[in-house]
Amino acid sequence: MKKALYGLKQAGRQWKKRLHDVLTKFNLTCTFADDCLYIKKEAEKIILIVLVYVDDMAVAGPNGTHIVLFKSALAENFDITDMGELRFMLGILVTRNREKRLIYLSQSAYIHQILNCFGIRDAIPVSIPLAVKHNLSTSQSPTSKAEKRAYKGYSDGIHYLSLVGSLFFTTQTHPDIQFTVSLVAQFGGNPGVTHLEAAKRILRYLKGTVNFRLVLGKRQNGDFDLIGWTDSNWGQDPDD
Amino acid sequence: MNKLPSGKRAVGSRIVFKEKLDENGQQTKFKARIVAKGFSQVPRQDFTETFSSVAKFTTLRIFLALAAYLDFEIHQVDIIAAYLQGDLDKEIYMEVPKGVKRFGLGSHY
Repeated sequence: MKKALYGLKQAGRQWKKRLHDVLTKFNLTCTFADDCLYIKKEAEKIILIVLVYVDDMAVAGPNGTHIVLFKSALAENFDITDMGELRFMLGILVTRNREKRLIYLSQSAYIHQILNCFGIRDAIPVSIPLAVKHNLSTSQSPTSKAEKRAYKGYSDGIHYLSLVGSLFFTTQTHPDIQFTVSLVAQFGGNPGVTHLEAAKRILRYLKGTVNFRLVLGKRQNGDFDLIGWTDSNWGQDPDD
Repeated sequence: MNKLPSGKRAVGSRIVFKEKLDENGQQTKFKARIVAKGFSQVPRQDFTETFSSVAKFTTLRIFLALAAYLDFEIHQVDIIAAYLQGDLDKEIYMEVPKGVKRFGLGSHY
């Protein structure tokens, strides 16, 4: 065979290598922070930033002409689809407010999809992702065969880890569920009824907040300062 | 198409057919893609390294935050059939998928 092919074990790696060579030829350099982020500078100023996700690329720059040049240079090496301004990447909807220099990220389409997938489309939304009453611990994990069977009956075909995986992905634009998702994930090895209840509660919380967007960009007049809290409350953790 | 040299193994292949649907679930086109049966590849013989990095989500967010702050233009480009563009550094032979007429010297690439 002359070229890589879909299905070959090394197809992904060989592709990345090829793309890296091409990008390097355009004087883009791979950053130390992330292998998939390339930057081009001219006179100490950034003129192009390229983010690569397998065959998907986002290109940013202060000047539209640099982007156009980059795209035509790319088209000389590969067949490409020019999707124009960035709208949708990796399941995340990107909208902008240029005047305020803000970008909004929304995963509402993905959230609707997982709500359907895990069969809670018609559930009642809740306003807090984690309920105190659940007080999650490993003691709620099934130990006997009967308990395992009870969990299996309750879960009704829902795969706990795949639910946790979907929730983790949603975390990309929903930092508000980060803590709860990682808590729930701790019981992935042997989930019980209460754990699944808690995980499904996060879905119900998401249902009420589907349209929440993550806002990135310039600090606005009247924005409050960022304040961090920490609560190292291990005393109340049933497992630790 | 070539005969398989003696002492070499060939990777199997097949054709995958797909119906492409639009957002409304309407069928728009049919696609056929020839794929290698990668599971039959032997480590060190047919491939060595397979790792390939992808961008971190954190990078995507900082990328977008920076672009928003500096008011950069942001465009998106998609590469067609990316995996067909990679160069191979191993000599690999592949069987012709079933149902494809064989002509020339033999049944292998």
